Amino acid sequence: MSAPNAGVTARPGSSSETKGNLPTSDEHAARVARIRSLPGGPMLWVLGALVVVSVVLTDGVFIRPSNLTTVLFQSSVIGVLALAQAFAVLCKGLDLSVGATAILAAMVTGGASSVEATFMPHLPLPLAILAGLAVGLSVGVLNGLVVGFTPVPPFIVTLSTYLLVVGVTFLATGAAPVTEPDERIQGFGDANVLFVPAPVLVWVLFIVLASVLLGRTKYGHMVYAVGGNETAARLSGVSVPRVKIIVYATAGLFAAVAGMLFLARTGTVLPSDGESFMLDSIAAVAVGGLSLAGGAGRVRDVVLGVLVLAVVGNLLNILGVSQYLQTAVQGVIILVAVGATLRLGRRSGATP
Amino acid sequence: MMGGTTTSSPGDQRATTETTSGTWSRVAGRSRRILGEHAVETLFVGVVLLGFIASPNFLTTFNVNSILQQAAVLGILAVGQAVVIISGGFDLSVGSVVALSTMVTASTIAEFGLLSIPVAVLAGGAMGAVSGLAVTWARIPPFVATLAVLGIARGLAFTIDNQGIVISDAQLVAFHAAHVGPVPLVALVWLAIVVLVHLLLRFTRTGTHWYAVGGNLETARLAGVPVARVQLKAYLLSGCLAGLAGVLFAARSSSGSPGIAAGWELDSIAVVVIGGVSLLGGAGNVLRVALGVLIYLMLANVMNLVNVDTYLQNVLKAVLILSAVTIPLFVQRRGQARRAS
Amino acid sequence: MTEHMDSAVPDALVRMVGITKNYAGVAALKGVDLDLRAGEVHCLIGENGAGKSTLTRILTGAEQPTQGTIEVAGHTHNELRPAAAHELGISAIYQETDLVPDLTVWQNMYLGHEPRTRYGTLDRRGMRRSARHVLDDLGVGLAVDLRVADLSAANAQLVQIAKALTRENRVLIMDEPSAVLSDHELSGLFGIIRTLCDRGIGIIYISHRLDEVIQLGDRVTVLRDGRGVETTEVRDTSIPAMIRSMVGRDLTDQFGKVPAARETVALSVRGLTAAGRFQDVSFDVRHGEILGIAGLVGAGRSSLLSGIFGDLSPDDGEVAVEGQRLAGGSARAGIAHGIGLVPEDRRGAGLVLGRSVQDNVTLPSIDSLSWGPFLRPGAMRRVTRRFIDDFAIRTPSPAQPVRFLSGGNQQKVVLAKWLARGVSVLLLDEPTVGVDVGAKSEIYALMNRLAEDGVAIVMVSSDLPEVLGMSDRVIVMSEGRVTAELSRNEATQEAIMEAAVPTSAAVA
Repeated sequence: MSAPNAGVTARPGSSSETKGNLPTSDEHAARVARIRSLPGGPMLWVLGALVVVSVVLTDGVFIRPSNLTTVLFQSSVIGVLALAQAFAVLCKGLDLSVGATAILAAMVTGGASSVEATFMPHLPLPLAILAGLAVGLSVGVLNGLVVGFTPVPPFIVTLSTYLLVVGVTFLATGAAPVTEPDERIQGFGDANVLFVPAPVLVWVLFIVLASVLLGRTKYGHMVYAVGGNETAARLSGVSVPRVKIIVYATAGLFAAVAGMLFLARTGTVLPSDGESFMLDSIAAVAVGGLSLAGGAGRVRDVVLGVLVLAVVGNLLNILGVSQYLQTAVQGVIILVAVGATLRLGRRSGATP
Repeated sequence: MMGGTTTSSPGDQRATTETTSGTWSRVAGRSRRILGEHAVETLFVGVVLLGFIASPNFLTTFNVNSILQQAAVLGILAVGQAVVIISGGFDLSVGSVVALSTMVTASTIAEFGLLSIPVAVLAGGAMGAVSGLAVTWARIPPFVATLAVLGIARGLAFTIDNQGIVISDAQLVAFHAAHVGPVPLVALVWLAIVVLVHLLLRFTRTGTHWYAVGGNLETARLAGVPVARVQLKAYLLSGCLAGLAGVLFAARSSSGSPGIAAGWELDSIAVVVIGGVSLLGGAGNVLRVALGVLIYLMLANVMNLVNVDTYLQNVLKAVLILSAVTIPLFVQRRGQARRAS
Repeated sequence: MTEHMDSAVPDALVRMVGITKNYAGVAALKGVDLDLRAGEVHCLIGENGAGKSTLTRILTGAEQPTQGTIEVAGHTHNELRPAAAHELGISAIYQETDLVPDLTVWQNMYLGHEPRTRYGTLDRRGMRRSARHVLDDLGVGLAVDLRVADLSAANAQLVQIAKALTRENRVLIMDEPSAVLSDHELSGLFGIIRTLCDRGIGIIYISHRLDEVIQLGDRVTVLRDGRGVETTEVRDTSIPAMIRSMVGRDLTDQFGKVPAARETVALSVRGLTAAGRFQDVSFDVRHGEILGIAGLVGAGRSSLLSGIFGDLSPDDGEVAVEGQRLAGGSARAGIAHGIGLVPEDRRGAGLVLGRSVQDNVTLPSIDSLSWGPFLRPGAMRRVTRRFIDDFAIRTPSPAQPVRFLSGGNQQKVVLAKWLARGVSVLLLDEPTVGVDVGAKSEIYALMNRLAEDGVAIVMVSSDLPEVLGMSDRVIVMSEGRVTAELSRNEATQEAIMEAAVPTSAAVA
């Protein structure tokens, strides 16, 4: 969607840099190359700097194990959701439905395992979890089928499924919350393994899973190819619709997992929960530096994006900045982070 | 002429008239062309008829006025959104800017009186400027840039007062309640803006440049169009209009509400799309967008009148948006296939 | 307009000195000088990729030079921006369509310099009127209110020319304006060019058609590999002399054709038809044979390759590889039968530019380089290494994004990706477009090697010497039909052109 503007926009304010003085621009390119080749990429250093700033500003409160655990615990849901979003974005798409899907999946699993909810038959816990996952998968497959076989832009397709899923959620539950799911679910949310909260471990598990899928399988190979250049991929024998269906199905499945983590963490789910999920997941992916034009970026970048936003949120919290101002500050940080990384990337990799 | 490419498909027409012969098929071709070119108008008439048949309360003055009052707020937002999309961008911040504007209006009106209206509009404009500069100067993709501004505006709105502020200014409330003849004043304000922006798009250099930048950015740049300034103007306009929509909303609800208008960015995009604007930029017509707004609100209204479940309405809305985008795409594609033959 | 601003060189409208342009470290231009006098047609010739378009894009401000100066009307600039260039009276007609599809003809013609009425609104009436005038002068009867999206390619090209004429020009650049014009329109264009010259306007005219250079030009500058080779008066040169300086060596050298055709048929095409693109095409290609397909742009050659490959489903006819009929309908069908396609648009359709050499080379053969769903990184590296060495692909590492390779090396990556999979039929669409001369002969050598290995090659090319030099057999297409089939001995430039030019002058 943003592709027409991403590439060849006019270059206001940059005229001074491209003046014919070769030495300076070469020096500059070299400097940029050094910045980009920092081990771990620029985002890791942004995160490092943020951590240092946080430690100093909070007199060390930030670095306390209990606080760090909280930061990780709180970002586990968005962490998995951002991975879901990353699949779509890498394939030159976008999935606006991930947040709504997560909540629907949480309601289904919670509802089916709770004795109180009436909209779902009571199911044993494993089946309830499977039902939630199945919901996520179906929404994803639906997205994938439409994106894969029609020329409708992913933005519109997933906007429609977003509205559809929200509608279905309210319709099915009558806007009532799901409370008291199976106590094992909540028990899982409170559990720790070696001082690490169980939801964080699930997040790590899915980070590994996503890395393997994207980096070590031929499926990931094709995702990058389709996201980078759909025509070239098609002419190389890649079945583009199939790749897209798998991508959106994976996103749906990951979203369902994120929803269940949310259920485990909070114990109750309202149909109106998760309103910010969609935008949060896109923000994390964008801050991490994935190109919304597709085909470029790694799982590591997505994780860094989530952590940067989480650290900023936590810092503002400790400093006592109001919840509300935090939203605004996060917006500013997205602008600065994305703007800065884009500028760096553009200058070093200018192409005809 | 230049509007509504998503709904009309010249290739289709040409192929039809070329490949078939005889009076009957010419007539059929022509009527299909008229339907194709005027899909939005056709849909509008269809929805009015649907409402008329479905409920005796649909065409009452009270009901029509209530639709028009809603249309004023969403419609003004949609005009800004349409201009941004025509120029090849996206504005996800409009909903939050409405909320910010209601808060600015509510918090300044006791002191400034009606002067708070321009203040609120300028606040919206400032948000538009941030979006515009992020897109043009920092060259952040519009989607991400306006998403960030969405957060900024919402945060500022809550920071002004997280509870909301009641407005007791009689003038403002009276302004919203005012009618010219049977028509609500705010609807006329909306109409005036639609016509103004339509003239801007059609008869000014800036307007042509919006189409050019959205239609083919590189060509516009090579023709010496100041691309960055042109895009910035679009976001500024969208911000200001969102600010104005916020004023109207504050007047309607007699309050500033920081949490209001969440998700309106999607509504505004939806009505722009229903109004036949191409999401790829470069084509569209704000008069049709105005019809799109009415179609969207009338459908919701009809569903309310016949007691369709609120939640089911969401589902139907989704189907409407998807088909509004999908159908022209397929018509176009078939047109292209035919043109080749 | 013809004031002599520069005392040293009379009539110099523009002087470009020492222009150098680097793209990501690759030099497209290396210190080129060019001057343009008032009232002359200065032709710019050179092979594809020689730097003609880049040089003119720098003059119009579309690109900025890495080094060098541009002197216009006595003022020296380090670089120009589009608006500044327009103000100096420099306009261009580009090769690719440079119009906004959803604006009308007149809106496009005045884009960026719209006249206004005294009320500050657009002077629509004035623009319509003068747009109609300009089109009338060109001899084009076109309604100015039509949307550009609804125009044919030829008419769009004419609008582009008309668009440049709406400006107060001192310098006009024409980048292959004749490509899609009919003879009638072309003679109209030449008339206009002469009128403009009489008014003192300087014209830079880029063309591949050397006869046009002789017919129209005053001086000619030859570019080769990003350097200016020579600038001479047209009356002092000849077509063979120009070709010599463009190519820089004897033509026969670079092909090194080795006849390798065997007896067995590898690819057989029968009555292949896709409505509106190509009609009833039949031919056989034997193992080791190179079949050249010549014809004008738009004759349906590229579509034919897509049709054989399966990416475009034909309406009728059949394709068989090694006697096995293709199901058709998708590229996967062709690939499964051992066909590889090297598309004309290398960057847009041949490669995933942002991905590495390795990712691109292994893409079609990824199934054989995986174990179940899992990639085999060792095997992928080995394959990539082998082709980097074998094809002499100049890249710092297999992990280098192909975006940063030169055109010739990019093309080698495209070839490598098919050979990594193993193909028996290779379809090449303009295999050496945008490839510099050195890499060209390497690609020819590769083609010869593949033919010797028994691969059947179908090559579409607009470069006649290439067609003549590489093909065992040539078929010529015109308006979607095969109009001639020539053996290597029968094939001459004249014979091909005769069959390529449509018999009726009716161009859409």
